[in-house]
Amino acid sequence: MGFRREWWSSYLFPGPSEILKTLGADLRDGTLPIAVKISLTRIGLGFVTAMLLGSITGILMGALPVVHRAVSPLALGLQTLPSICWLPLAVIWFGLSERAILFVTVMGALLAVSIAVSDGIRNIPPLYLRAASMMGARGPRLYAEVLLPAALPAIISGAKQGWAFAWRSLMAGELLSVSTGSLGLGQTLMRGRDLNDMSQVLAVMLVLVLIGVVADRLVFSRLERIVRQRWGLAVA
Amino acid sequence: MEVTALKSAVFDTPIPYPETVEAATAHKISLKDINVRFSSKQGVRSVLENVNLNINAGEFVCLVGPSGCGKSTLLNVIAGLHRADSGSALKDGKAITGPGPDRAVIFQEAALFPWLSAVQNVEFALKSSIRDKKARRAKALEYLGMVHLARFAASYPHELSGGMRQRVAIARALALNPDILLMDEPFAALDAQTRDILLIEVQRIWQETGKTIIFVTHNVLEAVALGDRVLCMGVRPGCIRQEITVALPRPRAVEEPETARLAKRIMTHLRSEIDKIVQEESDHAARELALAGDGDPDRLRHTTANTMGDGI
Repeated sequence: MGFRREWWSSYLFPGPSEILKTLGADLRDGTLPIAVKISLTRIGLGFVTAMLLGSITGILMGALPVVHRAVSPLALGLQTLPSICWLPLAVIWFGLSERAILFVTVMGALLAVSIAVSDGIRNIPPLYLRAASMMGARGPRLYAEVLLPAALPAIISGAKQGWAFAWRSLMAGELLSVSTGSLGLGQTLMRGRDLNDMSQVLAVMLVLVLIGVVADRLVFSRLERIVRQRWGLAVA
Repeated sequence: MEVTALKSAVFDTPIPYPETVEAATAHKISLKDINVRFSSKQGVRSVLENVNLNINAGEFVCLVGPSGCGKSTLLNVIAGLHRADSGSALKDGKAITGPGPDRAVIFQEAALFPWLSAVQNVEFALKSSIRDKKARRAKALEYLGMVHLARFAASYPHELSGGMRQRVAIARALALNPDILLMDEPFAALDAQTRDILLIEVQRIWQETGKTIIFVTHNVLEAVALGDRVLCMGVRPGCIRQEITVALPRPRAVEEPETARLAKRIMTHLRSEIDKIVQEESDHAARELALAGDGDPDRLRHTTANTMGDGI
């Protein structure tokens, strides 16, 4: 409506029809599908790495009080650090490369995941542990069959958070390293800015929101609901 | 609780009491001069003092007493979940060094794993004894059948009622094939009807399996209905005050007059212990009140610490 009345000019805030038109064009010429694919590959890789590393450090922190005391203040401190702050460091270490983007993505999610996993393990009801020890479960079996499943609700919350952090970090990384290699969503967005193509910028933003909502609805919220229900944490 | 706390419960040095070992071999469980103290900020308080107890194989022994008398602690000493500060705890003449599947514990809460179905929970207990998956499942169903829950094998704990969960826990404990079942107020969280049914069930299971059962409860009626022997525990210090042999025919139901009569007799004895707690608490409150009027906060703190050291 604001657009129709020409409260602002269309190059500052194009109307919905123009955004949709750009969206359509980007879809047809392959810019968007390729960008989505590249970004999803990056986040997939970064997220899986963060989950793996985060689970390992989380389990160590949850199981060994020494590690917890040593690492957790550091982890909490680092978590308040916006992930974009890792970029200069990443650029110096890895150059303006794919690896720099991956590094930023992993660092963005890693701490959230490891804190969630360690809290999950530390908050397991002692009753489960006593029952497990009474049944002679110890060592690897205790971890695989009692501690991890018991901590799973917390781990999934951690994964959900980790995904959100990773996604933001990836965009930050992509925005600031336009010149590197293949064009992800962030780079496409930035190129829209460079070309003063506002409808392109908004079209990419729309896609970003869409991916975020879809990932949450289809994957994380659903997973969380199933697990909470099974674990008896929510009313069925 | 951290995982290492679990490790500290599994102590590895046996308590050296070689001279008692031979004398005790005749008993399934033999406790001699057991002392347990808890230390906290308020100081050290003695929970169990010089507890001596022998339990024969196949016996059904009930421990009753007011809350705080250390009956659960005593059970945990036998389970190996808590280590006595001094004294010897022997099972079949060997020192108890930690928890083990030979002494299955049934807790007040069912302690089932919520991510496993009823039958999977029972299978968990069978994992080390039966390797073959099909045989394990069959055995687990057999144990669920013993508590009349085979029908609910695929249900998850949150889908079962409190009584059903506790029955699954009993099936899981039996699946460990223990010599001894240790039951720590297992029916305290259940409604009266469910409890009455389970009281009969437990007697049946005990008669069918011939296990030694040690059953902790604060409910005298429950103790009389179940036990061959009822041990009354007192407070300050926690120790066994009285031992009553129950020779009534089984299965005993709580509503039978014989059961009720005997329970009443024991209750009269326990009453004095409970009165002692009430008296101490009101004394304590009165003292605090008097001191608060005195307006000397230092003295108040001092006295409070002393009384709390005695333990509530």
